Amino acid sequence: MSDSSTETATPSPEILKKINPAKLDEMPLVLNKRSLHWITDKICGIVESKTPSWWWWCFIFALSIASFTGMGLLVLVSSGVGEWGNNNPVNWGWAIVNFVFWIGIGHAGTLISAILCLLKQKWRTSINRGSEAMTVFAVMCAGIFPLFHVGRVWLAWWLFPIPNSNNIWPQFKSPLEWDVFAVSTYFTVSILFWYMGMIPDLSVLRDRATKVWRKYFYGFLSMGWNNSNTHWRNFEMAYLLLAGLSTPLVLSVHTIVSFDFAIANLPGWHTTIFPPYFVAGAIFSGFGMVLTLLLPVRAVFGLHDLINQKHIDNMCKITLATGSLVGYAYSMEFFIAWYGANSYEGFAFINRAFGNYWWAYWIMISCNVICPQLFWFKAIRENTPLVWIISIFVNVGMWFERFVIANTTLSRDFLPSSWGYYSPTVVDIFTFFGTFGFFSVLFLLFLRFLPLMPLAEVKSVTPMADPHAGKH
Amino acid sequence: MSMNTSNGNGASGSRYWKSLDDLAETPAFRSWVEREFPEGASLIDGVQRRNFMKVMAASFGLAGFGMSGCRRPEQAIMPYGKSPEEVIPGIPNYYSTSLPSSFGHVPLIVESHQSRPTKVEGNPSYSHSGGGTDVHSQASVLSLYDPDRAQGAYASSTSGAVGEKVVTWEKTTKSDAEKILESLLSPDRLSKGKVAVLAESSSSPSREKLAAKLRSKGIIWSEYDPIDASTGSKALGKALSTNPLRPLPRLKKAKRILSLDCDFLGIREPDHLRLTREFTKGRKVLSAADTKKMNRLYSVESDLTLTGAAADHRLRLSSSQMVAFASAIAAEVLSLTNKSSGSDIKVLKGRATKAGFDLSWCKETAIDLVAHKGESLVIAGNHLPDEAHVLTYVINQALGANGKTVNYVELPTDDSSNISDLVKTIEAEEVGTLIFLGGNPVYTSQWSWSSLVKKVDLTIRFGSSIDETSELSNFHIGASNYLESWGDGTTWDLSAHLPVQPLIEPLFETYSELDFLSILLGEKTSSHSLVQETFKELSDGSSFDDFLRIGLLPREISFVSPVYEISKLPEFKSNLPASPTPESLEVLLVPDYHSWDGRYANNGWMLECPDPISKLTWDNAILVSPVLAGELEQKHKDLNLLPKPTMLNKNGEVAPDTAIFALGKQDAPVVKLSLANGSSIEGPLHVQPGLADYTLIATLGMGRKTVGRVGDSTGYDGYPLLGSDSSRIASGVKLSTTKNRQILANVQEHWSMEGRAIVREANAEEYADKEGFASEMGAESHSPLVYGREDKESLAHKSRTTPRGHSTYEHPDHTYEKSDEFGLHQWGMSIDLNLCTGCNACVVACQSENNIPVVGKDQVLRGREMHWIRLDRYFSSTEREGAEIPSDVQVNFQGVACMHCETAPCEQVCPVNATVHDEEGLNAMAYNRCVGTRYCANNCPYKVRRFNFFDWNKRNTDELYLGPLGDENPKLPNLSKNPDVSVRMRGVMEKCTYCVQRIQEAKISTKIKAQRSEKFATGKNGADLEVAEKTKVPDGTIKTACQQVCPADAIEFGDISDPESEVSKLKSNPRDYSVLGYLDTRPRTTFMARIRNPNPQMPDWTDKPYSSREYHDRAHPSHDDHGHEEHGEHSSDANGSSPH
Repeated sequence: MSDSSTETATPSPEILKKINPAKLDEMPLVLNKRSLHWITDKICGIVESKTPSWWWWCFIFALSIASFTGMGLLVLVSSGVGEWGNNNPVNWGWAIVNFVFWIGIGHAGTLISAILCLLKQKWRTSINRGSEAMTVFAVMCAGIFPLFHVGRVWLAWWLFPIPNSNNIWPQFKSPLEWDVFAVSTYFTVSILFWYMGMIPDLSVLRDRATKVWRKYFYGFLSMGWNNSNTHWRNFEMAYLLLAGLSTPLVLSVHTIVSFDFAIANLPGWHTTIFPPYFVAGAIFSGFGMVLTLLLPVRAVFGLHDLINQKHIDNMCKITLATGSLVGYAYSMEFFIAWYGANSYEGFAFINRAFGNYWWAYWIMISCNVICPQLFWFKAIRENTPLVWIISIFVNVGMWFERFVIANTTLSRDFLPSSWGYYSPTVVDIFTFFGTFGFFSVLFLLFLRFLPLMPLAEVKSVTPMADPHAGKH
Repeated sequence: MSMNTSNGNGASGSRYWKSLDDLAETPAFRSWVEREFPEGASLIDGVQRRNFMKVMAASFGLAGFGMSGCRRPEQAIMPYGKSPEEVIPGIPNYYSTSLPSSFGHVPLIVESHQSRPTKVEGNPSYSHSGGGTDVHSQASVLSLYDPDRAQGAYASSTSGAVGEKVVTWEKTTKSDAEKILESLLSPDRLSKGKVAVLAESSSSPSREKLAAKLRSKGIIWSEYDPIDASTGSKALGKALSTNPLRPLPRLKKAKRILSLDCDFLGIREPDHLRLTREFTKGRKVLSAADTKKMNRLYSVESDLTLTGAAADHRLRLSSSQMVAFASAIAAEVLSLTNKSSGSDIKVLKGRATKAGFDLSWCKETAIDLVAHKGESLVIAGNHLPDEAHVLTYVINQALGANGKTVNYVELPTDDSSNISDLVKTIEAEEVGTLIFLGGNPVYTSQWSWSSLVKKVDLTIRFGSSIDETSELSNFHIGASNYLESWGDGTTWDLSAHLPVQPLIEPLFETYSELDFLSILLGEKTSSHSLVQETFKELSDGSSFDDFLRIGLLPREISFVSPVYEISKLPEFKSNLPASPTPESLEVLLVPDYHSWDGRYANNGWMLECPDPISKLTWDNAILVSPVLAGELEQKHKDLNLLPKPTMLNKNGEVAPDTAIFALGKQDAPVVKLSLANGSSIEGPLHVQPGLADYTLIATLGMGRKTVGRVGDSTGYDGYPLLGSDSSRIASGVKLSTTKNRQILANVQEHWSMEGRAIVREANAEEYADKEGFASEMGAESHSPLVYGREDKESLAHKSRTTPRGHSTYEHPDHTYEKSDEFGLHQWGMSIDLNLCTGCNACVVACQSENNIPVVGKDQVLRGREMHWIRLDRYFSSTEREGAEIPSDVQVNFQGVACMHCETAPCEQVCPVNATVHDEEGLNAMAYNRCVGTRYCANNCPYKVRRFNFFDWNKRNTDELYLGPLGDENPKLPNLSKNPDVSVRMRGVMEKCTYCVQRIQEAKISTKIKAQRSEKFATGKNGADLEVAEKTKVPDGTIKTACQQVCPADAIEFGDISDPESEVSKLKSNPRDYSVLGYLDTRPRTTFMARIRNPNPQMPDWTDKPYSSREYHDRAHPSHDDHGHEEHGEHSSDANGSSPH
């Protein structure tokens, strides 16, 4: 996936003439030779045009769904955690499942914006803004659950190391404490990265603004950006630094989230495979979610030239790769459980597949392991509706993965006398369901008010960005 | 003080200055010093309007921001206006008293905080129970604070149509009530008919005196108990032509015991406290040599009881076949001892053959009993027919047991009439006034009381709460709780006269039973003086105060053992009942574990305390054997009674549960059991391994109609099947299905240990060979040693250091962060699984001691019960055929509370440091710091942590989900709270603390004592003494609540850094093991492996207990046949190896 235009600029080595390699027919990243001006108009047009009525319907609908979370939390805080389905062997239940699910979704955004940036993957340009937004919003949804799952939410600030006269500090050995740092760092860096990348585009919106409030609004947000060379040079440097800073976060956050389980001594949790397996799963689910979000966005705004089959293809391939990694991890867990000859561990895994939550396990396997294998076929990758459906399955599967991990182990651990069963209550379901509304509200606002793609970056990958375009 | 004073006369002394400004005496410095608060001075002086407004506005703003308007509710405490004698706030007082019961009084010591009785303990002066108590005594303190108690006297008025009769109660004043009582014996009333009293039985001599007086006045005095414990004594009296003869087994002396359907360890038989204690004394095994002294219990029973669980051999047999079994045993014993002619034996044998039990089982048992002549004993259950008791007597006589392992006491003749005579008199319309004295006969007896009371002019009810009997009465007069009244009584074994001493003035306008009778007699002698009078008659001049102080008066009893003429035996030739069949089932009625005969039906502690065998709370079920359950499933396809095979249990990976659990809730089909005479009951079925195939078990005492808010709609009523002669074996019962299903709150879904080495046990022979068998089981026998090289070190050493084990890594130092070294004591606990009978008394004792809330059925169904200690009950069997539920099982109990792990997994994961280790090895829980992430509970391998999902203590259990909109709990039960233990709010985790309040109390008093004696010895001031810091609490001073209540002494607690302490000795015993030891949590609570003592000659003998067989089969499936030696070698290799 190297850049063909730069290669042709250099004189070809002699050897190439001899072996006469076949030309790879690479798909351009922006189709139909769209002009730079067209791109600006297209992206800014989304924000500048009159608010379409569908947006309002979606927004109101999303807002009303989001209110489910609000109601759920109100009930929860006013009467107690008992409103959820948690019980004695299964003390976490859906709350932590949802937390890990949402945090995992966030990962694709960071991966796309940071790691792919460092690796100079140019195809990232048209999807990175949207997936960064997704990251930020997903982390916001995720944060709700660990915050409200505590029994006394009004004292949740005790998890932060705030100096106090009693000299009581948090317990730094606890993975939950690490979570606090990991997630808050992640959120801070993600939001900075997202916002900073947007500044040049916000200035474009400012400059194009016809209404006074827009001038002020975008003027304020673009922080005096004037497209000067110095600005750009500093911007590029800062962007690279932040990309470097975020890269370890892609790995660290979900590693630390996996420690919530792996540090515990329960069979099925206490495994060293968890960190890489969780990271792979997170990227898997993240790409699933990017596909779920951007395919409709592309259709609605007619962005087929900017998000084209190449992008979809690449995302499908990453999904396939990470899905296979996850599948490998599942089988490796079983192997180690058998190889380790610890009867508790062995039981935990057999119980996962055939025990009280067998259905969840098989939903997980079919969605996460079997479903993405379809992406081996080009025809399927090119069938956009099918890709979208599979991406939804990936999301469902990854939610079930967390459910299986958290609940099968807790419901049947060491002493059979305390085995139990967990099922969610209406409040659990409402609270989780509502977060999708909350997420959609934020995403709709993002679509309406912020530039969906980094203009400069997208332009840089168009054919005419190359000074030698068409001259070879 | 100012440093400047010395300035000027610098001639003498040194001069100090604070700063150069000071030295130079600048005016700025002067003014700085002169102000009282230099830093904030600018804020204070020169108050300006603008500044003032600014500061105030900011303060108001902040006040609003900080929501300081939401304050914690203010709670007023009432100080004593005048301090009462003996009461020191914060220091509890202890008084002796006793709990009245128809099974004899239970001697108690009750703890009282500022005149509130809070905790009941056994009276250790009564050596037969040694300070132990049973579950009902423990729960009785809550009944005192039952908000649904009758709070005075009430008059009833009935309204509404016939079908929907509504009884309303109007409270009357105390003087009105007394007037009514006094008028009952007036000529005016007597003209309307006789006065009759229907009382529950009592062992109180004072009451008997009053009853005698009443009888002498022509009043009909009759007594009724639904759970009649006198059938055995009456039968013996009749057969031996004496007064009723009460058998008192002396289990201490018995080496071989055969129980015929007699649950002498459970709550169904009288004297179970003493019998439990004596039985378990014979099970105490500390070395291989002790196995020879160990007793052996054979149990033949239809229900699976605690006695069956403790038995070494158990035979399932219908209760109706017990006479046949007794005949067979009698035949064997008589022929072995040559006590009888061949013809008698033939007759006896002939009766046995029809019953269809394993005769070789019977024969070998008899051989074993005879081999231990004079040390063996047969006990028969009280519900069995007369013949069983007589045969038991004959067998004991032949075994030489009478007078040795069992004594008989001749009881005084009973002058009261029985209930059927009374009913006849009422039907003859001779009774004008009927007084129900205690009990609840309308609910517990099978007469049609609603029509009977119509034939009586006036009915008066004396009882603790308005119940079914009150509903039919004109007046209800409230009875005081025993903790509010004077009285007396006798223990079942008649060896002690006991006081009932009030600890508190009656909370309401209620009367004690003695006061009530005394007023009725028109004597108005106070109950206090009545009790004193009786005491004077019984004692030879000792003081009443001493009686109260000691809590009992020992009494001489003379034993008799008349000889039964064996030649009379063939008189019992009458037809024996046929074995029950699927068409004609047998039902055994037993007192309900939760409510007993119904009296604890409104006691939340009892209702939530799981039945020890079925583990059901809040409801009772009809227990059915797996065989019958299978047949019922065949017949009724939609019954859904047995769990379906799943991938897991079909492969034998997991044993099936005994019930259908839908979403973790037991979903039971409701069936109808009907007798030929038309009476029937309806209740949910629960499959119970260990039952006789065609005997169903139903319980008495639940399903009450008029009960308080706690017991409302709990369970079904089994009384309709009770015979009018209180016979509890119903035969010829038909079972029919209904469409209904009922959700049961079962606290233990899964019964199998799954081959995990959780409860470890061995037969006596194996133990004699290898005392350390317990340490060769479990994953830790294959893993590197938990203590590594230090394993050979003493327990005291290990408890005070942090050994690294075999870890490659630096092991974290568990010395408490703030202290340089470990604390003075290191607490630990040892639970002897060989002694624990599973009685559950510890569960309720802990609940009472530690203010553990009741959560209600709905929350138990959601798995949120709060008990800090739970008794895990495991079944194990030799039959393991996938999804089948076995019929013959062995039972194990294991008390599990916080293990206080040295390397506690919960502590490492708490993000806010709310659960931490203290320097004495306690895993402490700081409720105030807990935010409730529940990570600790997840990470606890023993699952002993309990979370306050709701404000249990504040919110009404029915309205938990309404949050602040719900009603608050009634305040009265708050009086039962132990002020030494915090009451936890919602959102915090809690768990066993090793009764830290008791530890602290003991430490403080030890300190004070040490200081005092040191002061006397040295004459120094207290502040100079170091002795207090170094004085250890003497071993045995601290008893945790669970330990104190245990009649079997199965729990030992103490300082493990002291090698001489009892707990250290037990922990050094080779039987000691840690549950899940391989996790290296180093629990401070360890268990003593169980030893069974089966007879190798018996047909059901196996070389290992079932659970051990299962463990070995699963852990070493490949080298099954030559496994054992190899396994031993393997583990000793692991033990002895140096770190690699």
